[in-house]
Amino acid sequence: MTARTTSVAMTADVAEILRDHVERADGQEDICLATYRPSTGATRTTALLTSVVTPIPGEREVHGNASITGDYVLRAAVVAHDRGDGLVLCHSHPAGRGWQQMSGPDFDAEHSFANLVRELTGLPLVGMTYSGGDHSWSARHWDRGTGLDVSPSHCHNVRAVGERLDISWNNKLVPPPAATSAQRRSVSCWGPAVHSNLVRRKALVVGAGSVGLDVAIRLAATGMLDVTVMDFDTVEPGNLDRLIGATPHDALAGRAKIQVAERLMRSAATAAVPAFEFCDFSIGESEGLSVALDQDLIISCVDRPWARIVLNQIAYTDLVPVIDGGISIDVFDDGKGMRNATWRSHVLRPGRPCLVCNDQVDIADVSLDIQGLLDDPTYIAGAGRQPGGQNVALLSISVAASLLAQFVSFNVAPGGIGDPGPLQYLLSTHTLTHLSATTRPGCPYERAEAVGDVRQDLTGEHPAAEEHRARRRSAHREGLTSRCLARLATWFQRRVEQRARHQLDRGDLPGNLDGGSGGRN
Amino acid sequence: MNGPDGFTAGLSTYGAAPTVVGRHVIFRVDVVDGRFAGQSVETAAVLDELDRWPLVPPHWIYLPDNVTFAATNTQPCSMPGWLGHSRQIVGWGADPDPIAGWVAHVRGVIGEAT
Repeated sequence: MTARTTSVAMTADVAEILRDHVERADGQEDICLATYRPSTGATRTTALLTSVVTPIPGEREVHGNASITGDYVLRAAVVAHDRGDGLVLCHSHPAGRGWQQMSGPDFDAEHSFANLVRELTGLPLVGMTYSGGDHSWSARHWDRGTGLDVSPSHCHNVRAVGERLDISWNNKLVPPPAATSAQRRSVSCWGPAVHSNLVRRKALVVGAGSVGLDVAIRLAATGMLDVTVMDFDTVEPGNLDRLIGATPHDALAGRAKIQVAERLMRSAATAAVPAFEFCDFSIGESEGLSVALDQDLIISCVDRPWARIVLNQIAYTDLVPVIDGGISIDVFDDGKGMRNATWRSHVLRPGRPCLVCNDQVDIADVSLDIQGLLDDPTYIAGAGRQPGGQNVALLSISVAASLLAQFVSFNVAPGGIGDPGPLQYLLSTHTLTHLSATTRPGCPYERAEAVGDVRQDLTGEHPAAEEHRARRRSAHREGLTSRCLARLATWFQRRVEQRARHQLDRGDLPGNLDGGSGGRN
Repeated sequence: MNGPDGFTAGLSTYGAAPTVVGRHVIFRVDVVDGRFAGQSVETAAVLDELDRWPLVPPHWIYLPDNVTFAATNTQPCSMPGWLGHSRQIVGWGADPDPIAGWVAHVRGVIGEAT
């Protein structure tokens, strides 16, 4: 069983407000309280900061270090309790760099308030430290034991979601991986420090179709350590013109798309010890949502409205940014030619319009999708709809590229510029446009920022997902001999690749494979 | 308040006088355009589509049989003399009050009746 972990997330705006209070011009420590809501995933609990409760005169003293009064804690705890929030105690280490360990006085101060805060708010105290030297954060949840035995779970990371996703890492719990020899070119794009921060980010790819499969493979090839792929669907013959890397045998065997993803990702992975997970739920199921809440960011490669609206929700309620996009191909009415193709990509996060405000989801279709009517031929014929979105391998790569470009901008911020906003490419005129979408005044998604576990439940039973899983469990479309041979082949391939990787990492290369110093690939 | 209770309470506050009959919430909309202009027309939403209100509004608009359209995609209704009409929604979230937004949407649809 995977041990539960903890983290903290906040918007860049809240981070700036908090930083303004604890970062002093005179270089002394300072201290401040804040409120949070919990966001509980399958294996991780995140404290979502919701507001900063600044001290009033007399509630806080600065004397090299900083201290607060019990009255301040009580006042802030009441504010938190009235909202159903928990309490955060944040102080600064002005010259600190990186993840801060707790000094004896720091530990004693938080320990002294931990039980009281939990009594008053019903939620564990969260302690945070701001490192003035490099503007990073560290955090812990005081969620273990009670009374004198209360102790903290140290967080794996602290995330600030703004134009870029800034993550401070607890290097003890999530050690920076050494770059492998296969990652040399990737590391050279942005430097070892950025690479180390990037590859530790937990990423979920929702949808292992033509776009998602490509995205997942490239994340693995870049060296991402912790990638989860979610899809309940099965490889069918009709997928083979777009599912690059899937084989006729996969279709014959009725393999899950995530099985194909696993095979190709493990083959492409350059991390020494990747931790890939594969999940055959829908994001519309509670199990799928739970997995999504464990992630630092999500790449949405699905076109179904229900799945996209669940992702749309958690981008705001749980501060899990979602990179989303899609393609629309227009054909002439007589079916004899392509009129145009359009692909779009955008990051869903507080500060950017949601999918509904962005006109990327027809909200009325969500209810149809939940009812299963988007797969009902009778309904589709009666509504005069097309049975499914067109796509082609020649262009799905462009969608994947657009999503990955958003990914790089949002995570690496080339030139200091983060996510560019919604982008649209028109194939007929070869025009790339920055789209200006604005939040609608009544948007219920964006209004629910950082509510966490009290979010409205959009999940439910998913008959299509259940049917796919049941069919795979009961089907034996290939003979026993074929199944055994396929498993043996996979086992051998993995062993060969592992041995090759070890050899490359040892630098034990044949004379003509020393990599060179540049030039064309 | 969310879900069916939130929908019904919102309609009450709005003054649409909702009643729950079986699996449907029936309320009235004052129509300003088209064949029923100036009239108060009954309409309904099915409870099954309200579980995720207001984040996910209903797709089907239920109307009495006498409200007809030149083109429409329908489904039967458990209430005799009613039909469900399939309709897309444009601009959801434009109104800060989702109930007002839904009533405006239904009003617009009825305004197209022939």
